[in-house]
Amino acid sequence: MTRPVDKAQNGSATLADWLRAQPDDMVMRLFLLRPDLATPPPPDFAVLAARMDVRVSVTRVVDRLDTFVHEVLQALTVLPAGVSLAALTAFAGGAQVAPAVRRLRELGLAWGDDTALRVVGMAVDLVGGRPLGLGRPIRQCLSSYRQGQLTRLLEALGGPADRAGTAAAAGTDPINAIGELFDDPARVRGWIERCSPRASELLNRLAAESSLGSTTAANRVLPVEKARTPIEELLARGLIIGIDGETVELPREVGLAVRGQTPAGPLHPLPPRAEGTEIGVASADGAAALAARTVVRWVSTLVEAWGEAPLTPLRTGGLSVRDLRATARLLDSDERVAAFVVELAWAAGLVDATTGNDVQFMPTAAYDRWCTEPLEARWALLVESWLRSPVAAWLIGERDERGRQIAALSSDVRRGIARELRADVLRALGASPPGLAPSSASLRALLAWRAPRRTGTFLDRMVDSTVAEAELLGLTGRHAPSTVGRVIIDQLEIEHQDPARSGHLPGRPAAGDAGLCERLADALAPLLPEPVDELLLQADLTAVAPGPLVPRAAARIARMADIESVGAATVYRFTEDSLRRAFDSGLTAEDIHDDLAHWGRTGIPQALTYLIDDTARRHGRMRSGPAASYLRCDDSALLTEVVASRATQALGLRRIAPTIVISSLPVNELLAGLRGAGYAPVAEAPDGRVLLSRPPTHRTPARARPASGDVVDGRLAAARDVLRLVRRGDESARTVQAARTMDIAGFGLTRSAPLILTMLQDAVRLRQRILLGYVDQQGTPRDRIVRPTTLDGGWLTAWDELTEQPRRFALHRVTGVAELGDHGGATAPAAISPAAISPAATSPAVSSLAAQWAVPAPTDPPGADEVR
Amino acid sequence: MADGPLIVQSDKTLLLEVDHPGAAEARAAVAPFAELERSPEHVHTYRITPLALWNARAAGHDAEQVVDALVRHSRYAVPHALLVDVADTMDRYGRLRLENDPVHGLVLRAFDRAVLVEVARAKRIVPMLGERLDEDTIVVHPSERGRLKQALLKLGWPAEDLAGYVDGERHAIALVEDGWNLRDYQQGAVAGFWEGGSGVVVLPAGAGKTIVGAAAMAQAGATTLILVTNTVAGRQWRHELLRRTSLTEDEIGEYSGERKEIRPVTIATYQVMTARRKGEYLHLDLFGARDWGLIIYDEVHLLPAPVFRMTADIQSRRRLGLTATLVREDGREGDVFSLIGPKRYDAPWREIESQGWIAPAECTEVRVTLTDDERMAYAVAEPEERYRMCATARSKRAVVRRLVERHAGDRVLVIGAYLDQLDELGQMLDAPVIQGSTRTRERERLFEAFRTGEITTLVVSKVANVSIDLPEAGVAVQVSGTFGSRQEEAQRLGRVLRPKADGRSAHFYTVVSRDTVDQEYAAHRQRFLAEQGYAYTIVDADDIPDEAGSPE
Repeated sequence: MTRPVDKAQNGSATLADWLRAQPDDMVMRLFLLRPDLATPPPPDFAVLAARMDVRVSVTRVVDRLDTFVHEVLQALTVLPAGVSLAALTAFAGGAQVAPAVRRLRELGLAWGDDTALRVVGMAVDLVGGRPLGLGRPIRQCLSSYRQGQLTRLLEALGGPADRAGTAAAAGTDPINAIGELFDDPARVRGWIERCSPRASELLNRLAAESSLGSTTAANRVLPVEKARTPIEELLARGLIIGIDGETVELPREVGLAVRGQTPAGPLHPLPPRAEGTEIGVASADGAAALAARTVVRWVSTLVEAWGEAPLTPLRTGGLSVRDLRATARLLDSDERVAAFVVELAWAAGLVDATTGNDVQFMPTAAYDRWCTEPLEARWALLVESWLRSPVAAWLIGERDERGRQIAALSSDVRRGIARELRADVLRALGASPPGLAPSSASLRALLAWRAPRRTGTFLDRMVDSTVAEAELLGLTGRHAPSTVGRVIIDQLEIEHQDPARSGHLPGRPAAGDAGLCERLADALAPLLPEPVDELLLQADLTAVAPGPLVPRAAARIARMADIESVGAATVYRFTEDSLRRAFDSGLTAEDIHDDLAHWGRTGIPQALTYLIDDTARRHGRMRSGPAASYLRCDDSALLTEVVASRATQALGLRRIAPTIVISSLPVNELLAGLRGAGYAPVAEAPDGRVLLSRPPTHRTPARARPASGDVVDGRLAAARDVLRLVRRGDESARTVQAARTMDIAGFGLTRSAPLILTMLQDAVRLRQRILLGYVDQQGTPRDRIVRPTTLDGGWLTAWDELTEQPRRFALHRVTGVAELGDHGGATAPAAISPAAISPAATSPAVSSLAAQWAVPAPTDPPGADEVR
Repeated sequence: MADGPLIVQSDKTLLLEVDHPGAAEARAAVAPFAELERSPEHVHTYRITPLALWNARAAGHDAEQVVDALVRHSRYAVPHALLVDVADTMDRYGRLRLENDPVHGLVLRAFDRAVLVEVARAKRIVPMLGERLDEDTIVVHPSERGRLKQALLKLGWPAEDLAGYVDGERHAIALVEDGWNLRDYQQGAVAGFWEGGSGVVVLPAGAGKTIVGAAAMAQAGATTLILVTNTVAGRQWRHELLRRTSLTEDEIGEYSGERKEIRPVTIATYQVMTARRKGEYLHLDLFGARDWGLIIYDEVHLLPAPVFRMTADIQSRRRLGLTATLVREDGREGDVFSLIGPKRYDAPWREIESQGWIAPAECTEVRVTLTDDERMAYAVAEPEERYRMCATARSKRAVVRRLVERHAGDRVLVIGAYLDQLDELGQMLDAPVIQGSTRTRERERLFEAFRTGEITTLVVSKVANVSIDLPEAGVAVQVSGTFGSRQEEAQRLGRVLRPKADGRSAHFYTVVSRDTVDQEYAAHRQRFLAEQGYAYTIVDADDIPDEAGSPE
C-alpha cells in the first residue's frame, strides 16, 4: 500500500496545484515554519512542491513532530491516498485528529482538503515500513518465501490445489495470488476465527506490539494439520510470515483485521502528566532568588579575577584544565559549575579573547557597564545570554572522537542543536503545574512524547545539564519552575507557537529579547531581598552586612575589608592588610571613618578606630622609588651648589635628603656630566668601594695549549681529517654559493611540499646527490648535502656527506631541495632551499656549515697536509 | 520569607542578629546543633560542623528539627544544598551501634548493611572486629570499644554507644546543700550527662564546674576517679568536695607526685598519669585499682594524648568531661567526642553572666609607649628575643603600679610569663610571687592569704592559668603572655570571673608596648575577647591617672 501518486483523485491533482490555490497566509506560515523552503526563494510552486519533498527538509520537520501528530501522519501513510478526514477519524478509533491534520498541513507534510488528504512521498519513506506497529503488507512480507513455501501456503489458504496449479501454470505470480486473497478483509477475519485459542492469543499480542516476533523456526510452513505449536499453526495458515530464519511478521492486512474497531491501535493524543515532588511556588522562588544572587556573584568573582590576571588560552583554543581547576577553587565549587560559569560569562560578552597574536582571555568593556546595573538586570542578561547560547557546557572535560579533552571556551563546546534542545527542556519543565518539581522520569517522558523520533546520548546529557543549569540560574528553585523561570518558559512557548517571533530564524536578530531582559529583571526584583545600606561593625573587627549590600557600599567596603563569609549576608573582616590595601588605593583614614560612620548602624567600635588609625599612621612612612644613580656628599652645601648649577640641569637631579641626590641617568653619564660641569666626582661600586676609572681593556681567558708530546702519526691523521673536511666544506660552500647565484639569477625554487616530495622520490630512485634545506630541532635552518636512500613514514633516510653516516630527516622539516651533480659540485643546482636564501638569516647555510667544520679541527691549522 | 534573626550562609555559618526580638528563641533553636564561634556585640556566629550535628543527634535531635529551626528562623531562603547536607550528615550517626549482646558480649550492629560492609573492609577497622554473627552484626573485642569508635568517627560513620556501663563499686555520696543550692543550669548539666551516659559538660570558668562534678558523683553514688590538671587544682577539688558533699577527709585520696593514696574518691593529676619510666606508664594501674563507677576529667580540652589512649581502654565506665571550651588547640575534638562522649550540656557564657553567676568583666588594653632607648633595643633584637624585649619593657612597670594603686581596695592579680619581670614587679609592688618553683604548701598558704584578704596583690606566673580558684580576685593585670594564645586568654579571664560577693564588676587589664609584636599578640587576644562578647577598650598609659602621686 505504498503510495504511487494517483492523479485521478478529486480536488487538486498535484501538490503544486494545491499550494497555488492556498491563501497567502497559509504559504507564509509554511515559510516561517520551514525557513529552508524559502531560501533561496523558489521561482514557482512546482519548485516549492519539489523542495517540500526533499529528504533533509522533511526529516527536520518530521523529527520535531509530537507523538500524536506523528501517529496521525503514520495513519495517513497506512490509509490510501486521498482519504477523507472522516475516514481518518474512524481509523484512529474516533480520536480528535483534526488539529493534528491541520498541523501536518501547515508544516507541509500533508496536503489536500479534508475530503482528500495526502502525504508527501518523502514522509512515507521516513515513517518507514511498519507505521503504528502494523506489519508490512502481505505482498512485501512474502518476498522472503521460496516458491515451494508459497505454493504450500496458497494451498493451505483454501485456494483449490488445481487453482494453485493453474495459477502456476498460467504463470501468475503466487505472491499476487495470495495477496489477492488477503485483499478481502472478511476472508482474513474468517481465517482468524478458525485459529486455535493459543494462536489467537499470539495474534492479539503481535497486533498490539510491533507486529514482529522472534522464533527459532520461522521458515517452516507446514500443512495446517501437522502444526504443533501456535507459531507453526499461524505460519501454516499464512497469518504470520517468516521473514528471515528467526523473525516472523504479522502482515498489515491481518494486523488491521485483528485490531478490529481500532485499527490504528492505541494513540496518544495527550502528553503524559507531570509527576514529581510538590515544592510550592514560594519555596521555589526563595531558592531561585538565592541561586540568582549566587550566579551573579560567581560571574563577578570570575571576571574580576581574570581582570587582575588575564588567562592565556591553549594553542588549540580554549581554557586549560589547570585554569579551569583554579577557577573552580576560586568559586569554591566543582569543575562542572566552573565550566558553566566560564561559558556563561563568555556568552554574556563579559569576557572575551583579545585580538592579535598574544591572545588572552580578559574582561570586556561591557563588564564595567554590567557592574553598575542592579543585580536583577545583571542576572537577566546572564539568563538571556545562556538561553541563546549554542554552548553545551557539559561537554567540557569530556573526550572528543579523537580522545582529546574538550576545553572550555573552545569551539568544540558549541553545538548547533544545543539551543533548541535547551528550549525544549525548559518548555517541558514549564509544563508541570506551579510549585511542582517534575521528576527526571516525568520530564523525559514528556520530552519523548513531544519529539518521539529524537533520542540519543547527546539529548540525554543535554536534558540533565539543562535541568542543572536552570537550577544554578534560578529558573527553577529546588527543581520546580520559579516565577522568573516562568517568564522564560512563556517566552519560549510564544516562540514555539509563533515562529515569526522566534529567535531561531537564521540571519534574524532574536525578536523581543530586549523586552525579555527587562521582563526577567522585573520578575526577579520582587523576589530578591531588599538591599541593605547598613553595616554592623563589631569590636572583633568584623562588619556584617545583614543582607545584600547596595552596590556602592559593597564596592567601597570591599576596598577596605576582606570578605570572610558570603551568602545571604556578607561578613567582612578588617585587617591591617585590608586597610593598607585601602590606603594604597587612595583612601584616607578620614574617608574610611566617614564611610563607616555613614553605613555603620551601631557606630564604630573603638578597636576598629584604633586599627584604622594605627595602620594609617604606619602607612607610607617609608618611601621607595626608582633612581638610575645617586650622588652623595657629606657637604650639603656642595650638593646645593651642584643641584642649583645651570650646568647640571640636564642631569635629571633630584635631592631626596640633605646629603643625597639621585639622578635618572646611569652612573657613567652622570659622572661625565658632572666632570663636564667642573666637579670631581668618584664612582662607587654597589658595595660602596671606590671605583678607579682607568680605561677598560678587554681580555678573554687563554686557551690551553696542547701537549707537545703528540705522536706525529696522530697529527698526520688529524691533518688528513681536516683536509677532507676542508675539501668537502669547500665543495658545499661552492655549491651553496652557486645556488645562491642562480637564485639571484632567477632560477625556480623547490619550496612546494608536493614538488619536494617528488624530487626526493626521484633522488631515492636515482641515488642522486641533493642539497637539502632542513630546519633542525633547535629551529636552526641548515643545509646538508645528502644522498637519499629511503623515504617512508614521513622520514627521509639519507647518507649525510658531512658526518659521513646515514641520518634521518623529518619530511615536515625539509624546507627545500636542490639537485646536485655527482662530485665536483660545479653542476648547477635546480633549486635551493629557502633557508639558504632568506635575507633575514645572513646566509645561515654558509655560516652553519663553517661552524660545523670548525669544530673537529681545533688542534692544528688547516693545511697541515701540505706541510707533509 | 520570615523576617527572622538568623542568616544562613552558604559556608555553613549562621549569623544571629542579637538585637532582633526573635534572637533568644532562634539561639535556643540552633544552639544544639551549631557551635558558637564568635559572640561579639551585634552578630553572633555559629558554625554547623559534622561533629556539632552528631552531638545534636546524640542529644536526641533529628534532622527534621535542625532543618525546621534553620528554615523557621532564617531571614532569607536557606540554601537547599546545605539542608540536604545537614540531613545527610546527621543521618550518618547511629547507622552503626555498639550494643551489648547477652550471648556474645560487645557487638557492632548496623541499621544499614552497606555501611557495615564498608567499614568492615576498612583496613584500620578489620583487626578490631571479631566473628560475623549475621548480616548486620559483628562481634567487637571489648578492649577495642574506644578505638573502634575513634576509627569509625574518622571514617565518617560515628557509632552510637549503647553498650551500657558497669555500675562500679557502690559508695554513698550526697550533696550537702547548706546555704547553697544547685543552680538550674548545673542541674540541667547533671541531668543531661546522666541521661546520655557519658559525655562532656561545657560551662564557662567560674560557673561552678566542680559542683556539677560533685552532683554527678552524688547521682552515681559510686567510687569516683577525678583527673585534674595539677596538684593545686586537685586540692581545690578536695576542698570543694568536703564542703559540698557528705564525703569526709578519709574518703578522698590524692594521687599525685607527692602522695599515692587510693580511696573511694581519688583525685589524680594528668601529670602523674602521664609519668613514664623507660617508655612505660608507671601509674596505668590506677584505672584498674578500684572498680570505679565514674571518672571525671577536669579541663577536658587539656587532656593529654596518653590519657586519651588510656581512656580508650575504659569505655565501659561512665565518663564525665568538664570544660569551658570544646576547642582544642591540637584539633583533637573528635577524640573527645568518641572517647569521652558527645557534648551533653552547653551554656553560652554571656547567658550565664546575665544570670549573675559570673562577674561582668571590663577588658582594657593599656598601651605603653616605649622610651627611645627601649625602641632601639627592640629594633636591633634578635627575632626570637623581640617578644621578650617588648613584653618585659621597663616602661610597663609604672603603669602596672598605677593600675594596682587604682584598685587599691580590690584583690589584684598581676599575671606574667617572664620570671625576671615578675620578680621585679613583686619587689616594686611589695607583693609575693608565685611561680612554677614555688612549693605547693607555700602556694596554698599564699592563696589562702589572698582569699582572706591578708594579701591584696599577688604576682603569678603561667602556673596560675588554670584551676586555681581565687573567687575574690577582682582585677587582673596581664603584663606578658604566651604569644597571644587564645586559650590562655580564656583561662586568665576566668581567674577574675568568679562572682563577687558585692556584685562589683571585674577588671581585666592587658599592658602592651605600642608598635611592637606585643601589640600584635594583644590584637589576637583582643579579637578572642571581642568574639566572646566582652567590651574591650584601648587606653593610653598616660590616661591612667597616677592616683598616689608618687614620684616615678
